[in-house]
Amino acid sequence: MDRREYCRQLTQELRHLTAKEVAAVRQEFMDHMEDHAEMLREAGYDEAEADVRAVEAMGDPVETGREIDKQYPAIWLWLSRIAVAVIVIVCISALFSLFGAYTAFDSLAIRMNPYRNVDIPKDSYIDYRMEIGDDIVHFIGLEGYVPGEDCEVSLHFNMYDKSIFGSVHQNLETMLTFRTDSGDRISLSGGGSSNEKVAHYRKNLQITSDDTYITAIYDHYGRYVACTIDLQEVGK
Amino acid sequence: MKKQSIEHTHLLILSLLAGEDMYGYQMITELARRSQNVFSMKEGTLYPVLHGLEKQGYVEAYQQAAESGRMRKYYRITRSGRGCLAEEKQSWEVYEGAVNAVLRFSAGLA
Repeated sequence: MDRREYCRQLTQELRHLTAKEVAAVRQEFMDHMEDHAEMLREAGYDEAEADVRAVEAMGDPVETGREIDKQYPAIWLWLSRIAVAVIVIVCISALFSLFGAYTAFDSLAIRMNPYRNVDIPKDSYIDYRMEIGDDIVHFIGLEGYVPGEDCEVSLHFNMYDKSIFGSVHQNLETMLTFRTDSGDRISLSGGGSSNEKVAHYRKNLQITSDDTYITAIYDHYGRYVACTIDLQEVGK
Repeated sequence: MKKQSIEHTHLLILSLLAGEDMYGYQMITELARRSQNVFSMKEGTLYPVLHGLEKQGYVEAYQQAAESGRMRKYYRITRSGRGCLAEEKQSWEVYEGAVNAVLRFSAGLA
């Protein structure tokens, strides 16, 4: 058996020590055997013989490992593991809190500057709000509107929770329908992006030259909310 | 007779360290030398004793560079270790005195 094998057999009995403590014990035993081997080499033994004698002098590694293990009460190992788990949980919670704080900033910023996520001309700006439960739908632009002409418009809107720390309903934009003077309009195209706190969407709608308003309607789960956008207000 | 609260090996190790700080292999060789090889132990068995004494606060360990530059783990006795040593030495002396007294009595009868 060489030094490494001696230490391997010894350390595998160390069940109540932390990894750091096991490494320290291993180093201590390797150092001891080196000290003994060095003394033997100085006494005239060759290196191989000195190593063999130094290991033999140590005795039974399994029995020694068990006796060392008895000196380390299990409770401290469990306390150290619990401490690590608590630290991990605290760090994860802090990360989530930080993430929450970061996206809360997003929710605050979109209220102060509704156009921070879009680039639309000022003559398409509108300002209408719908409150649907705790969610707010803020209509901010009607791009492509040409008064008195049939046209396809893009209705831009932001969505966020009443509270900057609250989350917006992720599927809310699919629950909105739209109506004009000439009838219901089904949006077949559009786009948008969202995170937990803030969403921005764009719905493409066909407008006729006779239309004077677009009404956005939410009619689900016993709740009916409508918001009428006066097309004459676009860009004003 | 007071019960021996620590094993003899503990008493011997604390006694060695009361004189000077030592590293593991040094304790083995000193113990053998001072006892004229009566106390010659399997060297690995020293460390459960040392770690037990450290856990009880009777000794503490530190690192110090050897002449070769390699770091060695030294042990030194603590204040509470010296207190424990004094108590156990006294217990041992009482025990030794009692044994000697019995042996003298037996010798007197022989």
